[in-house]
Amino acid sequence: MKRRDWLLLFAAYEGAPDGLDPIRFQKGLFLFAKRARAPERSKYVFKPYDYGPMSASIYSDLDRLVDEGLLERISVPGKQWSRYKPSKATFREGQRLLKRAEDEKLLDAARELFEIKKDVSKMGFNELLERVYADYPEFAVNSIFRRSA
Amino acid sequence: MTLIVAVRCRDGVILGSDSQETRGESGRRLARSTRKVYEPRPGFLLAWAGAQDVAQGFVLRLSRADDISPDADRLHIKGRLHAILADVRKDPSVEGRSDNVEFLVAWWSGQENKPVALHLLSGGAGEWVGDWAFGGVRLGVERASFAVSTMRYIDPGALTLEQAKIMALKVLRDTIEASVEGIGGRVQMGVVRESGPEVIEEADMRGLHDTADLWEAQCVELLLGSTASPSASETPDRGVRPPV
Repeated sequence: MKRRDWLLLFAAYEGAPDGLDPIRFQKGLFLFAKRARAPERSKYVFKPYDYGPMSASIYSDLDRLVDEGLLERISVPGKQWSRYKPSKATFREGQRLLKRAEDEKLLDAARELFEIKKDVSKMGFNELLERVYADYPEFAVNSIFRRSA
Repeated sequence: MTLIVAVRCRDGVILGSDSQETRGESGRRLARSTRKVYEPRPGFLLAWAGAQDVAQGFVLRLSRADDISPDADRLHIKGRLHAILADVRKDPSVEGRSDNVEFLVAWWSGQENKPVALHLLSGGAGEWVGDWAFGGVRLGVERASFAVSTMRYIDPGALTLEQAKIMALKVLRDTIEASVEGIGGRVQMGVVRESGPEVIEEADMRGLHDTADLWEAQCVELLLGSTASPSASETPDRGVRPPV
């Protein structure tokens, strides 16, 4: 499994049928990088950024997945960002990636990613950021959003 | 024309602009993308508005001038910038267009050990930037000033450079979204900090836009409580799940 595969599997999982914004992709894959027992080379590398941990590679991989027809980019009124919505192709590829994870004995990591997807899809932005900042304060040092006490 | 913006914060200056260049007469105008924020010489950051050839003439002369350093006295620098602009305006090939050009120039003053920005106008005026400064098409300047006034409870002087970037970005994109004629395209920005100037690349602008969107989304959550989460969607969920 490559890191892009985990990104696509994250998108294919149930939990957000209308898709997710880039912030939730960033936070979800960050939590996966921290929590999941998977090879480090298959994880994105994050830096402390304005909104906490950020990996520029996630942006470029999301763009590529859209170009390849594996995700749909949906404009969000009033926002510059887009939502990335799964399609039939996403689900088909997701099933294939789950099989690969099983073959590579990475099902526990795949289950962890599933739990993370459920969590980040349920939370509002304030709660999501607070949780990440509380658990990983070293990635909050450059955040422009001050934490509540 | 253009919209250019400067904001001075606790530890630096941000310059920003739209990216649209408009040519032609009213009713037959053509718009294309052009760079308006750049580093004309080491230690300096510049944003321009107005006639592009006049601005290019100014930037070319500034890049070649041999007695301008960010370590020099700010009044000396101001005098030199005015002299260069006056020299450009003598060029007969730009006659008539040189009345409509203005610049924001920023640097980290070595003598004062603080960020400095100058609003330079073609008529010979020059104003030091206190907190905010705007240049370009009049309606755009009015809209941008209004956008700042809606956030007057935030003192730019208290902001970090990263926070001020988001505020400047919000002002620029809100003005661009208002579809003021002669302003459009993507936002360009650059910063001056103690370590020197830096133009923000397109890839980094994406992260800044997401931060600004996140800021707005958090404001909505603060007012309304937690908004509907993605999992609350009523769309049938055909997503996959791992085996138990």
